[in-house]
Amino acid sequence: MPSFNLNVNNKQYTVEAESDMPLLWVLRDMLDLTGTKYGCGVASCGACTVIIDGNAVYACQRTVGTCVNKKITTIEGLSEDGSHPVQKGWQKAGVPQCGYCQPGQIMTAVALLGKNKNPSADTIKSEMSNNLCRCGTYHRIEKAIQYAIEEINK
Amino acid sequence: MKKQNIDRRHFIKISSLASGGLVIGFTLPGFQAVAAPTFDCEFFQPNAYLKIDKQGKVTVFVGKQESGQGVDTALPMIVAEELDVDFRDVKSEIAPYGTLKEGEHDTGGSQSVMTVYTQLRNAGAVAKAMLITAAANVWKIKESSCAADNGEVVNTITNKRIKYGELVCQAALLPIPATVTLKNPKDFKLIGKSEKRSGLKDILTGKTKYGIDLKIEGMLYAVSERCPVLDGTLVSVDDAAAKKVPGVVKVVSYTGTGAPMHVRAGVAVVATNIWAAIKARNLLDITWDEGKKNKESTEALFKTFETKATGKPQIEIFKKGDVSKYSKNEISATYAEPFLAHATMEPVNFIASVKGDTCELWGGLQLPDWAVNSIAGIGGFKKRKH
Repeated sequence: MPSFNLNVNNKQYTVEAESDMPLLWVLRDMLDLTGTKYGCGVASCGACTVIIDGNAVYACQRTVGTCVNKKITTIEGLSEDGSHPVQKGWQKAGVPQCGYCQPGQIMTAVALLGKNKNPSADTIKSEMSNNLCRCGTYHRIEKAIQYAIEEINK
Repeated sequence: MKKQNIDRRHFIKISSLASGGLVIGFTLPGFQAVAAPTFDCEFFQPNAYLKIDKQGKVTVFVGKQESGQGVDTALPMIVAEELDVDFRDVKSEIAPYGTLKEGEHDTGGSQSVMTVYTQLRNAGAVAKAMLITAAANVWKIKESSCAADNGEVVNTITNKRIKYGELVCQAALLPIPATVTLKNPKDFKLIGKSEKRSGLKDILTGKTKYGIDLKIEGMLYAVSERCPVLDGTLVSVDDAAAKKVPGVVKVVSYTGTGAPMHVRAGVAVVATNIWAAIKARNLLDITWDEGKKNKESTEALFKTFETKATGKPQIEIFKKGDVSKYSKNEISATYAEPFLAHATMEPVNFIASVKGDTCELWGGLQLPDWAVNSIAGIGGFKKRKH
């Protein structure tokens, strides 16, 4: 079985996996980083969103082989204590209900704000539309992103 | 009085796996109702709903499944109200399966608060009454000269105070009062107010363990393919290609079960990892008999509703007060619900570990009793009577 060197949350890992295994399963089953969620496996829900080299990516759609020598960030890599500005915004807005989609939502927002510190409401809506929430927390997500924008532009 | 202890090892095993997550765990056979009081001087646990430790920290055991509706916050608030404690000293834990009566672990119908409200108020009030008695014994005064206030008992004669945590050992030895007086709702401090959701930070940092995140040593993963039409049956399956996927251990066809769980017929791929199982499932070549329901549609369903409802007398579902006294306009509406999937974000999942004649189960479930009864039936496990 081939082996791959991965940089996840600034840690180096070597994993042995089938080369067509999606990054999602490497993270969840091999590295035990279960904060990244499996929702649909077919690029429809966004629950598995992680950040690769600054871009929000569906981990279910990226095979492990395409992730070598890239900088991968998962929800566990944002902060240990929820102190990342986006996590703080989420807490202030009280976003989660069941919470299952929220790591993916947060990662999409972090990637967005990493590229654009002051996105317009329309940009936020369109960027966040890649992530579904079955509880319907969309309004609070928008509020949380506004709180995060205030925090990072302070 | 007679002291009763639960099997500590059993208790710890179950609750430590379940804590901090949206998962309950249970074991078959061997689970027993622990509604009986547990006394241990490390903490005071007068009933299955709460315990208080020597630091005065309160744990409320929530029997309902947290799935975003906030029972992990709302139910502890009810206990904390009657107990008269600072809500910041209260945390929630999943009530281990079997510690509550059959049916009490059920979650549904938007009825969690409604159904356990009085029970939880009683549970808190009982604990408070015992702490007051313990303090009265310490001060050698009447209970009526004591009052509870924010995690302390106050001597209303001298204004001296003792923290709940310091009364834990004395309270644990007292008999449980048969009746207690509940607060007058006008004195509520927590009920009716808004509190921050518990466990929020764990969700935001990816630490919350959902059912699908649990791992048991040496576990295998199974994924299922089912007939796209309800009640369809399996005709044949060619699993040759699926079995060639590295990691695949077995392909199992099954007919499913009837009530109450209604597991539909299907084909399961069992593998050493979930990716191999998913990949192999896509390679199954299955022929289904879709049965009688393959012509059904939402339109047809709504027509059936209409036909069946026409000419039938109205049924009163809920009544409170005399509406005619207040209403000027009558509002009428027709509601019909299509047949559709709940489509939870977390795929339905479950863990079973069978060792000898014991079956241990983990899962996020609305109706664990149904699962336990079904699995006990299918696997031939005996369910120990409570």
